[in-house]
Amino acid sequence: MLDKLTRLDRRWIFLAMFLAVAIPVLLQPTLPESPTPIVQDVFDAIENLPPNSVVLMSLDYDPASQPELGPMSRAMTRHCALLGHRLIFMTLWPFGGPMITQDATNIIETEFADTYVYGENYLNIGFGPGFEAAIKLIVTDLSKQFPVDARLGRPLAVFPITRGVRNLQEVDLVISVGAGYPGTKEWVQYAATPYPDIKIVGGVTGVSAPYLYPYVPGQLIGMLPAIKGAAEYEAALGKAYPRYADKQYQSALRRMGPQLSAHVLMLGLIVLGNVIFFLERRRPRTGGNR
Amino acid sequence: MKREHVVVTVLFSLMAIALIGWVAAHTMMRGSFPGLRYMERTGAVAVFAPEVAVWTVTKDEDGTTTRRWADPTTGQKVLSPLQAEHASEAELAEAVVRTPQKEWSLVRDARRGAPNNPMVSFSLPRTLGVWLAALLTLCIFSFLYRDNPFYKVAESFVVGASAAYYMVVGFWTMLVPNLFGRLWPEGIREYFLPEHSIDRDLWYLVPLILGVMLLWRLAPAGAWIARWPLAFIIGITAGLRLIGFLQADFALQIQASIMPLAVYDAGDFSFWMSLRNITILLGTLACLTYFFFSIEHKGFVGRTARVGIWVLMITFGAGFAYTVMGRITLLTRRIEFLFDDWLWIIGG
Repeated sequence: MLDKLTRLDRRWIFLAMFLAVAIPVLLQPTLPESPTPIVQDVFDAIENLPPNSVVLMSLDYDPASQPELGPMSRAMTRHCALLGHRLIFMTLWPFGGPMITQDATNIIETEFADTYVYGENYLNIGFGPGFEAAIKLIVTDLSKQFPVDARLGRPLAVFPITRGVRNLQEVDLVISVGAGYPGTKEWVQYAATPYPDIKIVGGVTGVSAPYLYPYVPGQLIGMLPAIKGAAEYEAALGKAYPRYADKQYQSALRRMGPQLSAHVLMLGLIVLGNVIFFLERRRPRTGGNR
Repeated sequence: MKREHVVVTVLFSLMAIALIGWVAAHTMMRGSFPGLRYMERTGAVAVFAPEVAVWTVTKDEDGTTTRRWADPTTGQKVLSPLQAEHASEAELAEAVVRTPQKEWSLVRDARRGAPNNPMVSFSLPRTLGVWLAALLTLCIFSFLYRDNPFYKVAESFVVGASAAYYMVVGFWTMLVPNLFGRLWPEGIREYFLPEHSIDRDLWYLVPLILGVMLLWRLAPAGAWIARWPLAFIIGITAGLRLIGFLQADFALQIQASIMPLAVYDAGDFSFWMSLRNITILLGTLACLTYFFFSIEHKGFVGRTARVGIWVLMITFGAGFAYTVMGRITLLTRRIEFLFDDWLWIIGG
């Protein structure tokens, strides 16, 4: 048995992991979530904005990170739209354009079509190349980096939403949903730090979350770390606005079931691997000491 | 044939039989074939020039807000031809139909075609898209068994599509509006962006020249010319990043680590907050000691450095665990796509 386990083909582990994820995806178990303080701070920052505030959402990710970051973008877009805030969407990633469409503007145009008008209540200014230099530029002048919007190709000044918003310092809140470089760290370094009046909340991937915790609460008001943070945010949104307690709006919460079973499997495999390792060490060696 | 090949072949055959059975059962019982895409038109969006029509907002007694395009001179409601298709007879009676600058219909996925619903129609591009995405997903997954030509093809697709997409986005979002639009605004207005209204700015000749110099490295001779713009980029980036890290990660992180070791909350001693602050302070000092190599790591310094290693290991462990969480989420989404978007197994 021990010999079999030590020589176990890793593809059986892949199969076990597939089943550990696939079965909960099919059964869709619901797990309770409640927001931790770091997530609640993000929720409160949006909730407590004065009506009709201007919120800039920078969706700095691509399809490879969308499963993790898409749910938080959608939840925060819904939250802002529910409160009637004006939304400006941008991205620092070339592949971020479709993410803005899928995770933000599509939601506005289907769920808030009656109250949200393009150019008046929301605007897509698209991809801003230049990494951190782009942030440095829009801190003082938005139209230097984004001469026209991404949808209609019109100068930003013609849209009512940009009246009184010439640069980042005149935005009430920045929401940075970032998968890496450039992302939330660069927003902290080049916007929140040199200009403390610029308020930023973040939503980040699991990979980058541990390295961004030190910025909270000084340079970042709060942060949604990985899919867990998104699930907590969805739970908070559903609690405050029961219309969004429905499963169809809670993709992150739905993904916590597979997380649980996959983590249990991984813990089991780690324990099993260690047990096998120590049993192997204690076993008398054959064929040695010649 | 090796035993493992037999096992995998049997496993895949069973999965294929289950898949075919599912598709057949679904088709017979529900009258629709999984994997086909139907779209439901839910509304229309039209963009009129400001002088032709503007939005009017009306608020009903129950508080619901309705927005309609209206002619600013007559006040008459304006509909685009596409909006007119969706409008009721009463709406059409009091509106005028005009051609907008841009128009598109809002659509959402529909699970299956409804014969009595004229708004639902079969979508060939989306059906092909879903099937292509599903097959490419399976091709990538096949690498878990072993490297194979299907995986190579899918990998090449990703690389090629990404490179092409990056180039197109760069051209349309950077070069056209931001560079050529500032150097040759009339031409850009004429050929690309009719409403482009930015004044000429000849300072943008500098990035144009630097860009051309950068491309010079592709030429057979004079590759050294590309070093000048590269030096410019490196210098600017180094300067920007130095300032960014000095302010955000050095100065302000020192400030953030200066915290009370005994925390009182409304006059009461808070044990857990105090413990948290002490842990942060001691952890920071221990890690810094580990990276301080001017003193040999012996005695007290050595023991402190060892604590620093433990703190670093815990940080790396947390990072690894978060990474695992992210990767499981990616797998979850792909399986959701296969089961829900492609096969309709979830939610029927």
